[in-house]
Formats: sequence, structure tokens, C-alpha cells
Amino acid sequence: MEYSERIQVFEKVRARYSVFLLSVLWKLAGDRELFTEAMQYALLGMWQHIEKLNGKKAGAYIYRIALTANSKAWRNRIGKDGELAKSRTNIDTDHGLLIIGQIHDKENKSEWVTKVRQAIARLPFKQGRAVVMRYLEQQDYKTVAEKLCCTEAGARSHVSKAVATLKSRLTAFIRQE
Amino acid sequence: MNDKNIEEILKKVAAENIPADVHKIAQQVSADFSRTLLQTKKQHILWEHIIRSSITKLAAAAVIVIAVFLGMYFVGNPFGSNVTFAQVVESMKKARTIHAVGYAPQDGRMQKANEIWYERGVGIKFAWTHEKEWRVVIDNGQWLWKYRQGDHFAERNKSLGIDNLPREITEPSRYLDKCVRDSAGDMVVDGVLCELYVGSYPNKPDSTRLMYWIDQERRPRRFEEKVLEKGIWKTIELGQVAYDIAFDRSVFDPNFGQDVDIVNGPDFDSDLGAGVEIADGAKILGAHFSLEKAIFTKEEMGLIFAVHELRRCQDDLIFALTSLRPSEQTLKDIKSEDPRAHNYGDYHFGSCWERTDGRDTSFSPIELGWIYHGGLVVKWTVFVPNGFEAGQVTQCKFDLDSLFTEGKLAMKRTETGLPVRERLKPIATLPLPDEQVSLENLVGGVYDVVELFEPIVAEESLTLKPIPFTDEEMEDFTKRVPSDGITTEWKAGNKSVRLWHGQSKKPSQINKDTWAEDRLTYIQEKQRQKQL
Repeated sequence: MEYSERIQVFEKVRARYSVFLLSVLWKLAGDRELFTEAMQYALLGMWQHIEKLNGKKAGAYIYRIALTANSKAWRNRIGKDGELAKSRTNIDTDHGLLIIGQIHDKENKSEWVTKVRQAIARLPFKQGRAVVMRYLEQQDYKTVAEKLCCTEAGARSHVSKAVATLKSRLTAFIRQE
Repeated sequence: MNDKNIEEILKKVAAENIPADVHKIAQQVSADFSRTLLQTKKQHILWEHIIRSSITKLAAAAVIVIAVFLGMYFVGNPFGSNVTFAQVVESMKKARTIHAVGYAPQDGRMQKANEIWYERGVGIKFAWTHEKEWRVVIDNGQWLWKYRQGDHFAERNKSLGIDNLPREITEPSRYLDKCVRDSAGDMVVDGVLCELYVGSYPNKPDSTRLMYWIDQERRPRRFEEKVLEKGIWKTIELGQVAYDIAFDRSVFDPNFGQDVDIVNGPDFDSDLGAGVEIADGAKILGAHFSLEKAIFTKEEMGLIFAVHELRRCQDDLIFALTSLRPSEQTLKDIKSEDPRAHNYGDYHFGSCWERTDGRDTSFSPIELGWIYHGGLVVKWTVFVPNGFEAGQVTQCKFDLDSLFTEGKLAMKRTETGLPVRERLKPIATLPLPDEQVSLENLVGGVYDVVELFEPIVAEESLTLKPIPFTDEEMEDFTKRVPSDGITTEWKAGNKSVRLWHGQSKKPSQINKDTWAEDRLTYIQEKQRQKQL
């Protein structure tokens, strides 16, 4: 692809998916610095794989690029001990979030949401995508199945496996506390 | 946490509104990225024009100069004048080796403060100074070793993995996104032409300056942080990075010195295979708390009491490191195979209260922490002097309110009709050094040492403020022990006899700052009580 053509395609793709990237990356990151970093990685990923984004499977690739970008941003933020450096998170407190059960104060709520986001960043691609589509984009199972190229039962299975994986990782976090 | 909780969190996250400034951030990031693509495109077209131009064909020398200049600029900076943190990290990941050295001001000049070696798939090594003491961490993908300069052992644990670039290498470049190009400051670093990007911390835009020199492959080669103090820019941090240089492979070997033993840490999993003999904990502790370096020793009942460290702190507070261990003869007479067993003795400090010329004086002990292994008891204590004029405390009196034998030693002494317990008031009166040191630093040091020894001691503990019995717990006590004096007093309405739960935790169970704050607050409370 000629360089100038490449730029044209990139700009079209960027315009097409800008709202999606903004929404999904912000919900996955929840932090301005993380979001900025993930956004840069996503744009870089789009540029590097522009040929794939110009075809029929662009929708699937954009999810992969977004989830990979989010994972990279989180990985850069997570220290060698697997823990977030609290001085660097600059996590906004999440007003109005009510978590049933164990969380009682604002600091804990924010920490749980952060941990959920961190756990999502480490999910395998299909599970991550299933969580993003079902919960963050609030799509029904039929739409999720179409995008994942599987049956509706298969889509439900991907979603429930993703939730189970999140649960086991968050349970491990509780035990450490 | 159950599925419903997780789903609730996810739904709430999905319902979050995107803040207005995040929209702007996204637009800015996208615009910046597009701009860099366009700038690159322009240079590409210019390069093609020069090649085809008849003018450049005539001025061969000029072509070469221009081509070289553009070539350097084009190759070295294919994305134009902006380099982002994400790009830099991606470029750094391609390096086979990375060697980074950090400098900080000390004694009026920049001195090496930290160093990192990274070799992809081979290992990572960090070395840094902490209060003029070097500390080292080595990870070779299988094991992770930690060592502190001067110690007689290094701790081994499972590797934390060497697949990702350490954060310590990438983090300094985090603020690159907020920097702008300053070609006037371009420089050659280690023979490589680098471009300068300048920025500042967002919350201190006018008094901080961050400078990154980035090479043609978008890798940081030099970093400098400056602060504005009294109108003068001062460098407070300097870093230099080299890529793809050959390391001696021994850099990732755990060679800390001939006298340094390797001990398995709390994360060591014996299922992974040994390969390293576990060092003798008693030997290590004995060397670290050696009697040869003690400032006072005395033997009583087959046990040796020692004072290793005595410091004067602010507000007349006194810090002391003491120990008790069986004598050589006692060790020969009484064997104790299990380092956890208490077969020798222990001690508790009293306040050494005295009345002299109508004036009451005392040294109230406040325990900071302790460790125990194979008969050796080590304690860190702060003494609060009372009844003295401020600034007139020149010595510390050590009152062993209770020095007692335990286990096999106690049994043997009982069999032979010897006493098993003594009160030694005082066992020692020692002058305080003139130099005053910060209690906060000493308290922090206690945590570090107890944490360091946590893998190899039989027991270790950091003391916390005791928790008072609730009224219900006191009622239970009075029912269980109806004839006790405390029960009588409690039933008579005297609440001051309320009992307390002793508290202690291992370093791995409590954060350093939380523990230090607990102790320092408790010490201040005791000082205030004495002043009333």
C-alpha cells in the first residue's frame, strides 16, 4: 500500500472507530493516564495493522487492537510484584458505585473497580472481548454471538467463563488482603 | 465475591459517563498521531523530489549533504517531531540488552544512585543505594535474589518473571507524552545523535523540567530532571541508557561475596527443586547480632544479656537494641534441635523507677519488635525517660524486671535448686552518645531488619498498640477467674484495671508505614501521659 493511501485508510478507520475506542478504552482503563497510554497503543496498533482493518474482519481486529492496547497500558502500570503502584494510579474515585457485600467505603469501592479493570486486562482475548461486548457495550447475546462467530449458547459460555475467570482472580486478591 | 458482585461492577462501569476532558484527551491524542503521520509523509515526498531534481544532480556535494541531513532526520525520526511513551516502550522492547545508570546529587555532586541490567530472556538486575547502603535484586527467570550490602546472607525466592521490561526502565519516560521538541538541545550521547524533548510535571509546570534525549530508533538515551530553586535550575536526577551492549553473563549470577550465605525466602517453593543448601539461621543471626560488637554484656543464670546499640533521639527518647542468648557452656549442656523451641530464657524490661532526693525518675520501656531463633532473643525498645529536666538525660538504666529461664534450662536449674528467675535493677547503666539521631529513621530501620530476617528466624514480631478488652471480655474474665485481684477491682467499679490484648504482627502482615505510625503515635501518647 502506498504511504499516502495508507494514511487515507487510517483516517477513515480512525473516524469509523473513534467513538468505539473512546468508550471501550475509557471503561477499561478508568484512569486518564492509563486511557491516554491505551489510546496511543491502539492508534499505533491500527496503523501497524491497517491492511487488516480495511477488510471484512475489521470489526474483530479493532477489538483485538483495543484489548491489546489496554493490556499493554495496564502491564506498563503494574509493577514487578503484580501490584499497582498506588502513587501512580491517580485513579478517580467512582462516585455512586454500589458494590454488594464486602465494600463499604469509597476507597475500597474504587480499589475493587480498579482490580476488576486490571483483571479484565489480563483475560484471554475471547473472554475479554466477550466481557466488553456483553457488559461494557451492553449488547445482547445474539449480537455477541454474531461478532464472535459462534452460537448464542457459545456466546453465553464465553461470557460466563470470562466472569468465572474474573471471579477467581478477584478471589485471589481477597485472600491476599 | 460472587458472580453477581462482578456483574454489578461491570454494569456500573458500563453506565459511567465519559468525562468531557477525556473526550478532549482522545481528540488530542488522535490529532497528534495524525500530525506525525503527515509530517513523515511530507519528508518522504521531499526526499523523492530531491532525488529527481536537476539542481541536485548538478550539485553532487550539496545532494550528499542534504540527503545525509534528511536521511538522518527521516530515519531517525520517522514519526516526525512527536515521540510518544507508547512508541518508546515498543522500541525498547526490541533491544536485546539494556543498561541504565541513574545519578543523584550527593555531597555536592552527581553520584551513581542506581543501575539496571536487562538481557532479554536471560535476566534482570537492579542495584540501588538506600541511605548510602547498596541493595541488589537479581532475577534470572528461575530465582530472584535480594541482598543488602554488609549482610551475611541473601534471600532467594521464586522468580517474578523476566518476560516484560522492568517498570524501572520504562517509567522514567512516562511523561514524554507531555513534552515538546527542542532541537536546540539535541546532543550526541555515547556516539549516537539524540533529539531533545522537554516537558514538566503537570502539577509543577514552572518549577520542574524533564528532558529526554531520544535516539533515531525512538529509544531514550539520556534523561535529566531539574527543579527551580531560588532562581537556579538544579539537576536532581540524571539517567543514561545504553542498548544492545554485551554483558558479562556473570552479572546475573548471585555472587554477593564469599561470606554471604543464600537462604530461602518466604516465597521459595521447595517443589521447584533445591540446588542450594539452606544456610544456618543461628549462625547468620549470631553473626549479625554478634557479642563481639556489643557495647555491654553480662552473664546471669547461664544466659548472656547484651546491649548492641544505644541511641539518643529527639525529646530525650532513647532507642536500644538488646539481646539474650545461652552461654557457650549452657549450649554444651543443653541441646535444642528445634530453633522454634524455647529452651533457654527470655527477659522483660521494667522502668527502673527510683526516688532520689524526693524526685521520681524512670525509663518506661516501649517495645518496637523482636525476633527469636534457637535461643537467641533480640529486642528493639524505646525508653521514655521521666522525671528528668529536658535535655538532661545523659544515661539509660536497663531494668530487667524479669530475666527468666525456660524449657530445658529452667528444668535443669529447678532440679539443682537454682533460681529460675531474677530481677536485675539495673543490670546496666550506660551513657548516651552525644549525637542525636532521628527516631523515625531508627523505627523504619527496625522494620527493615525484622523483614530481612523474616525468612530465617523461628519467630519474629513487630509490636502494635495493644487493644483493650471490651466490657464483655472483662465480664468473661471475671467469671473465669473470680478470685483474681483484677476481678475484685473490676467488680468494685475500677475500670483502670481493664486488661489489654497484646498485639504483634509479622512484617509480611503489616505495611511499614502503618506500623511505624502506630509505634511513633504510641510513643508520643506515653510521653504526653508522663507530662500530665
